[in-house]
Amino acid sequence: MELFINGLANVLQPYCFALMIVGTVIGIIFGAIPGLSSVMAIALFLPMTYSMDPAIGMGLLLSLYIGSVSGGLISAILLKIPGTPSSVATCFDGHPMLEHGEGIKALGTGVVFSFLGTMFSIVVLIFLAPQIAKGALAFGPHEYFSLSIFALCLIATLSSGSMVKGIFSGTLGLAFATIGIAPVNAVQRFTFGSVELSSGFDVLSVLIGLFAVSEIIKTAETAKNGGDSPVAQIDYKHIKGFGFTLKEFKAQLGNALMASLIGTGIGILPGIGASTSNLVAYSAIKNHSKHPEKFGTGIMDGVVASETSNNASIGGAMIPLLTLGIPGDGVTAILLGAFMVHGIAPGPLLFSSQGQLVYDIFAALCIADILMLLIEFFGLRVFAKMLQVPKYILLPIVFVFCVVGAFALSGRMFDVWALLAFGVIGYVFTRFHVPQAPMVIGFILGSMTETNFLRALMLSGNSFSGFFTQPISAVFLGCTIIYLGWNALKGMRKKKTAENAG
Amino acid sequence: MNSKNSLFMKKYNDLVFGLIMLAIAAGYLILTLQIPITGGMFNGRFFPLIIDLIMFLLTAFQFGAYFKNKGREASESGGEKDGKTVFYTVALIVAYIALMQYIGFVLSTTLYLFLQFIVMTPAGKKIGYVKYVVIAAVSSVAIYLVFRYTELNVMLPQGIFTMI
Repeated sequence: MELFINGLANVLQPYCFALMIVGTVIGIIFGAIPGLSSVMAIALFLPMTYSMDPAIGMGLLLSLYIGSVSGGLISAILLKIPGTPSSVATCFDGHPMLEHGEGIKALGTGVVFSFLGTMFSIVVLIFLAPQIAKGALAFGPHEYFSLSIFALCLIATLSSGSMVKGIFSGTLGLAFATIGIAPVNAVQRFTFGSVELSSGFDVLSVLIGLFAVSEIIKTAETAKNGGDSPVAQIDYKHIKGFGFTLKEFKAQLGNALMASLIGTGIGILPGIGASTSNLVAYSAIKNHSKHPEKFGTGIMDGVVASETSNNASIGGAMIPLLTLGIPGDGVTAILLGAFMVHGIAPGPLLFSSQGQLVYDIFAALCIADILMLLIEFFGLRVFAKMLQVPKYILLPIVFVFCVVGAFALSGRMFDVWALLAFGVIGYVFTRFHVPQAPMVIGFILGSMTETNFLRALMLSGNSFSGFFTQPISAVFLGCTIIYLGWNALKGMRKKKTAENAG
Repeated sequence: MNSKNSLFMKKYNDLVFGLIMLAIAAGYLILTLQIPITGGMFNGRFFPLIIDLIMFLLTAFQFGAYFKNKGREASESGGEKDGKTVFYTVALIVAYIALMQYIGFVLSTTLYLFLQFIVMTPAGKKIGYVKYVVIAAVSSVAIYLVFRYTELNVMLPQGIFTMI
C-alpha cells in the first residue's frame, strides 16, 4: 500500500502529470481516427521516452494505451466506423442510439463504462500480478522454455484463421531472432560479416515496422479512392451529467461486471486482447440477456458490453507482460521494447528488484484511467472535429516519427532500413492474410526460448526428458499439445461440414 | 497491380504463399548450414535447424491444404487494390531513407512529406501545393528542433545543413 501511495506521488509530479494529459489526449485522437492504431500512438512518443526516467516514460506510454483503446468509441458511435478493432461491437448499438437521438447517452455510456472496465482490470492486476510473480520465481529453464512454446502456440492460433499461417509467422519471428551472436556458445550466425547484424535486429524496429509502417503502406492501397465519411452532428449544448440516469446506470452494473470479467480474462491470454474481447463480451451478454432481440437496435447494454470489455483487456494484458515478460499483442510488445530501452527486463524479478517501478506503473494506470474519463467527456466536441483531419496528411507525419524513433535507438541508419524491411514484410503478410503478431512475439521470445532450451538440456544432461518430468513444464507442454490437437480436429471437422453442406 | 493480376492473386493466394514459405525455409536452411560448428551436439546450428524443420513441416501442410481445396472457390474478398500508390509510397520511403544521410534530415523529410502528401491525396481532392509545402517544412523543422535541442538530444543526420 505504501508503495502504491509513493507511486501515486511519483506519477502526480507536475512533469509526469502534464505528459500523461498529453498522452491521453493524443491516445484518444489516435483511437478515434480509423486507420491510426494504439501501436502508432505509442511509436510516435517512444523516442521521447528514451531519455526519460522509466516511471515517467511508462506513465506517458500507458496513458496513450488507455486513451487509444477507449477513443475508438467516438468514431464507432459518430461515424459507425470503429476507430480501432477494439470498438467494432460498439458500432452495433452505439450508432443506432445516435440515430434515435441518444447520441450523448451513447457517448456518455461508452466513456463511463470504458473507465469502469479499465479500473476493474487494474484492480485485478494489482492483486493478481504479485502472486503470479511469486509463483514464477520458481521457474527454471525447463519451465520458461515450455511456457514460451505454449504462449507462442496460443498467439499463433488465436490471432488468425489459418493455424499454419499463424505458426509460420511465429516461427519466422524465431528465425529472425537467431540473427546475431548465438547464446551459450557465442557463434556469429547469419551476420554475413556485418557488424550491425551481429547484435541482431532491435525489437522496436521490428515491431514498429511490422505494425505501424506496414499499416501506412496498406493505407496507400485505399488512399486514392477513399472518400470522407460524414461526421454526425450532435447538439452538445444541453448535456447533463453523462446523459443517462442513476437508475439506468445501476441496471447496467450486472452487464458491466460480466464484460469486465470477460475482458480481463481475454486480456491475460496471449494473442488476443481488446480487439477480440469486445465481440466476445457483446455476444455473451446478448445471449445472457432477457431481451436479446433488442440488441443491435440501439440499447445501452450493447455499448456497455463492448466498451467495458475492451478496456478491461488492458489490465489483463499487463499481467503476463509484467510477471513473466511475455507480451500478448502489439501494444504490450512495444511496451516491453520500451522497458528494454531502459535496461529493465519485466519478469518475476521485477517485483522484487524494482518494486517501486511496478507500483508506479499501477498508479500511472489508475491516473491515466481517470484522465481518460475526464478528457474524453469534456473534450468530445474537439475529438469529433479531429475526425475530419485528413489521413493522408497525418500518416506520413506519423511515419517520420517512426523513422526518428528507429534512428534514435542507437543513432544509426541501419535500424531505419530494418524498419522499412519489416514494414514491407508486414505489408506482404497482410496481403496473404498472415497475422503479424505471432512474428513479433516469436522474435521477442526467440532468444529467451533458445537460451532456456539449451540451458535446460545442459541441466538435464543433454536429455529431453526433463521437459516432461518437471511438473510445471509438463503441464505447459501438455496443454500446448492438447490445444494444438484440438484445434486441428476442429479445423478438420469444419471442413467436413463444409463439404457435406456443399 | 492490374485487375488480371489481382484475379490471379485471389485464385492462387495460398499456393503463392506456400511457395514463399518454401523459399524462406530453403534459404534459411542453406544459411544455417554455413554456421560454423563449435561445441557438442547443441551448438549454434541446433536451434535454427529445429526452426527449419518446423518451417518445412508447415510448408508441407500449406501445400497439402492447397491441393486438397483446389478447385474450390477462393474465399478471399476485398476490393480493388491500388498497387500504383503502394509502389510510389514504398519507392518514396526508400529514396527518403537513402537521401537522409547525404542531404540531412530536414531537407529529406520536407521533400518526402511533400511528395507523399501528393501521392496519397484522394482522387477527388484538389492538391494544395502551397499548403503541403508549408506543412511539410514546418513539421520537419519542428521535429528536428524538438529532438535535437531538448533533453532528448537525438543527433538526426544534418547533411548539408551542418551550420544549424
